[in-house]
Amino acid sequence: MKVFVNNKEYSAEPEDTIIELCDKIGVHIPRFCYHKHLSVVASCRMCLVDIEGVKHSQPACSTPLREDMRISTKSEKTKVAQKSSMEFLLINHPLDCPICDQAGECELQDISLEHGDDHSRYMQFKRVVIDKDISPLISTDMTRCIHCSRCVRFGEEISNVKELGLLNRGEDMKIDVFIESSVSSELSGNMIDLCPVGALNNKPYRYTARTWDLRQICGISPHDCIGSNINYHTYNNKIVRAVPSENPDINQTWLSDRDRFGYEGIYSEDRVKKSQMRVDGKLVELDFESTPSEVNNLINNNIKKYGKEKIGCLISGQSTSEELFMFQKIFKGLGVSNIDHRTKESNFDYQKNYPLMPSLGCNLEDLDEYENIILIGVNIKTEYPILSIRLNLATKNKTRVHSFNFNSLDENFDLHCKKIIDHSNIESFLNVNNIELDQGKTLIIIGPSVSRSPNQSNILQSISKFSSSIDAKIGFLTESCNSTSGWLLGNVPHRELGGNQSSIIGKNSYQMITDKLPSYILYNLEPEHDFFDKSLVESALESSECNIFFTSYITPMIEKYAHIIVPITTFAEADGSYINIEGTYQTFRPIVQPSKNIYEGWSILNKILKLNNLGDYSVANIRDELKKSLEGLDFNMSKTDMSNTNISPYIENKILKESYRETNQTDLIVRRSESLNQATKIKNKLNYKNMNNEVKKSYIDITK
Amino acid sequence: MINKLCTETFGLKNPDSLKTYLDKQGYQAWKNIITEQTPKSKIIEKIKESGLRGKGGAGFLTGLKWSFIPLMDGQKYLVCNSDESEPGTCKDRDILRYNPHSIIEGMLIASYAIGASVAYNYLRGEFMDEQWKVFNHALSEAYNAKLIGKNILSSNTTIDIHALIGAGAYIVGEETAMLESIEGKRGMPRIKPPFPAIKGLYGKPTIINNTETLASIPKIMLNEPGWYKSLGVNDTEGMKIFSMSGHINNPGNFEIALGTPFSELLNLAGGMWNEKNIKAVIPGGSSVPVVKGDIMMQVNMDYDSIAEAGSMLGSGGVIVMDESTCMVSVLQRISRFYYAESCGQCTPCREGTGWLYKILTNIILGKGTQNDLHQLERIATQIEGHCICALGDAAAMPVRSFLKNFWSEFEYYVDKKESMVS
Repeated sequence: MKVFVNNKEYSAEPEDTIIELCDKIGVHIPRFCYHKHLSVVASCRMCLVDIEGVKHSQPACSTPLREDMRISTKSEKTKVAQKSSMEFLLINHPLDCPICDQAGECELQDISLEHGDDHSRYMQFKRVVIDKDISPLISTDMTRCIHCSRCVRFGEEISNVKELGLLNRGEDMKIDVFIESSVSSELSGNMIDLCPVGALNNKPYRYTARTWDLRQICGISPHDCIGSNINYHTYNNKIVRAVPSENPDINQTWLSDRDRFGYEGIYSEDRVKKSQMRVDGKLVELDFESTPSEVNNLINNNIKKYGKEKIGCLISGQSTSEELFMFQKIFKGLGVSNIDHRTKESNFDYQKNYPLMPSLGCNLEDLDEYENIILIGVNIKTEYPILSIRLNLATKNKTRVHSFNFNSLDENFDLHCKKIIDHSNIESFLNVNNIELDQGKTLIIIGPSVSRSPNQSNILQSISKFSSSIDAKIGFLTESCNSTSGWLLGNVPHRELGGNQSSIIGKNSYQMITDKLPSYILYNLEPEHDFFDKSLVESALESSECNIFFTSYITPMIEKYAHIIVPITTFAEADGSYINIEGTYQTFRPIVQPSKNIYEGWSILNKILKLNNLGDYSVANIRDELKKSLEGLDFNMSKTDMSNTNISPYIENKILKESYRETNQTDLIVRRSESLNQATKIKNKLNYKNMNNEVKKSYIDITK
Repeated sequence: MINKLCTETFGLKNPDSLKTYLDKQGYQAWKNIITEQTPKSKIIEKIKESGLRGKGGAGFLTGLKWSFIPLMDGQKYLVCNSDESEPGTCKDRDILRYNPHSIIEGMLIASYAIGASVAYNYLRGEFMDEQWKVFNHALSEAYNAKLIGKNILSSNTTIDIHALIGAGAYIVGEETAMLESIEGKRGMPRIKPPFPAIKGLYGKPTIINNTETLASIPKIMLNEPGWYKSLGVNDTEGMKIFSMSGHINNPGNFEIALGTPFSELLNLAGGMWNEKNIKAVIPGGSSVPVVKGDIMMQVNMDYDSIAEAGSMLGSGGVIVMDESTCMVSVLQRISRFYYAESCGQCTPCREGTGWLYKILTNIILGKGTQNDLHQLERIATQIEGHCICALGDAAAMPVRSFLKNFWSEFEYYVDKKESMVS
């Protein structure tokens, strides 16, 4: 189809609207209410354009293209129409740009520069809207609102949590929460980005910096295995806020609140500032230069003293691929095979037949191609909020989503069926008669609650059998953002780099803890929260003779049991990379510089490697080797067959405490984000208020 | 002179009862259609030929509107628009009150013609106390007489009619806002296209007609094809109810032939109050442009003649003003109405109607300037044609016409800080 824009001929798709065509060909049309991922309301009237043969200017966002349509975005008629709308939008706007955080990135400001007047003809009183405290994450200045209703449509269409709505009509219309409730969804922060003016703004960032002074560096989310792309904004070498970086394959233009505000954790009070070593029962500070050799000596002495099989090496799945690579390089190089990253798990019978690495089994954008998605042991709303957007759209398309979890958490998309299942008796439940499947493709997604179950292997086996009986694909959602690398790079006791079987099978994390080894090396782990059982870890650390901690934070247990503490960088201060659950390898640069006594994780490991003459790597070298091991791998999980594993019988345990994870407690960085903690507190209070008595009781049981 | 179409039962004993209506050949057209199983296209054709135009304001040809409905099977809806809120208009109120069965019969015929099995009559909230009750009573009478419902007169035809009551928003009289309201959403107009005939109520093809339009249909179907056309005088076609109000002796609803001179209509309404001179007339509800009295006296009451005089026939709410009327105050009052009734969805109307009202209030308070008058005209121009629905235009048209016709009076008010007429 051919159309003319400003007298130039273009070929266009017949289903496109004018604004879609103009965005493609790079002709700018001002807009406020239009957003490519939201429905069209054509209410701001800013995109009015002149169409030949049509009496009045028409909104570009809602007018479909016609053959031979002649559109003029620069004619006098267009200018008059756009200028009128601009003037109307500004009459009740306070124009308080000097004290508005949005200034500098405000769509109203930008567009009024081009289409607005230099003075106001409005001499009457302006509308004032009284603000409410709607959320600890979003600040409101509703007097600035221009009623584009993007935030309302986001709640209705994308997050499926209707928190903001329109009240009253005409000039008195305002955006507000309904009956004194608050905005508490896991995706609420997106409304900050959507708001074209300063009405909804980032509360923790409030009055911190002016937007034109910020530096922007792209990072990857370290908080879940989806790997959302984030633009971090820094001011004076400090991250002051995070906004989504558009990636149509992963997070589109959205970001979960956890990814948006999680960075606050890196500025926590309990960051380790200098290396420390225990001398005569007391921790004393160590030199920056001497730390690597001290650590190396300690490791080698321990190996000599206790033997290779008596050393336990544990690393967090949140570490970067570089760190995971170096970690196993050192310890496998030194002959230690007790290496694991699965610290939240307790049942490992499954591991021999486990796929090369956990994977979702399909691309995120293909989720809506499945007729059935069965979620087992996962609460998408709180654990993978960004995925709930995809699933919400999938359910609106044709997908039936079934949720089988060990507790009764709600989802923010329509579930075809929701059941609470007993993790110790799953085989009898997984049955075609129990699950109303639609004709077509099925995907079973196994969540982290399954891996936290003491019956993990049994559950995986049952699911595997069930999936082959209905010809379904199996996908995983992992505990940490980089568990995929943990598996692939050989941070498991039975496999080498690239997934080859080890000749000696070491102890898994649960055995390491229960066997009470004389020496532990813990990398990026918080003993209080990152293990299957806190008390078991405590007694293991207590009985051990030498504990080496590589950590960003000091916790009471680390302080009590460490023999040496090495401060390492978080995701924000070093080069790194993550492999997300689709198998996408994403790298990132340091966002801020670490303070001077903190080591970049991969580089201190490299120093130790060098001291042992096991090699010398740069970031580029590591990535080259990593890519080599990724090449030619098949991520298709439908072939996963875990049905022939030898496993021990089910353990009876009615309430699975471990299946419950507080929304913003998933990793050691978000646990330290103050804004998120405050938001969680309010949310829990609200949730608890709305629960019925039966649910309240089980809630107490879980959280106790 | 007075023909009776929609007002046939007015003034009779028990005007709203089924018996009265049946005595006046009521439901005869519907029975004929049902027993003969008249083809749908034939009905639409007959309405087209009659030249019946929508009586709600826009004056769109009813038959043509019906013919837009897709022919394929599937759920379709008919909606009767009884949300009569245009200031100055009160015709539907009386039809609902005195002749509800004509509406029901009209709705049945229309539903049959477009293939709808469900029809809604949406009444404005203010009709709660009287019209709502009367209409529902009439509906139950019709159900009892098996004229409506399942298997009507053993013909296998099923049509249900439900009456709904609004919550008092003017904007819901706009057809797509009405659909939103019926669906239980905020009453805000939708963007067109798609038009309701393609995608209307619950996403299904829907026809929305005014109460008076539907009430006219039974008689048109009952009579010969050229009958309705012949009712008009002075080269025009059909009938219309005019609601006469203002400075006249005998205000009320008058059903007259289109094309009747305005002077005759004024005589019917008892002439001017206190024998004062006529100053201005708003011929079609408050949203249409005002016409000077002397010009109006030369005009015939039909679509084309009124358009020639610079206004519109609209909904037929004729507001007559005598020489003692302050046009500035009238305009301020009209502007206040549109300011209060703007739904707030699109920018020019939400912000512009308030601006107009505030400037006019300033003028009334004696704080106006000459510049304000130009400002008013400019704002009205900026609103017109830039909105989703017609409310913006409805707010702008009076402002522009009042200023155009009575500029000197506005100037006087601004200068002297008092009205020219007081």
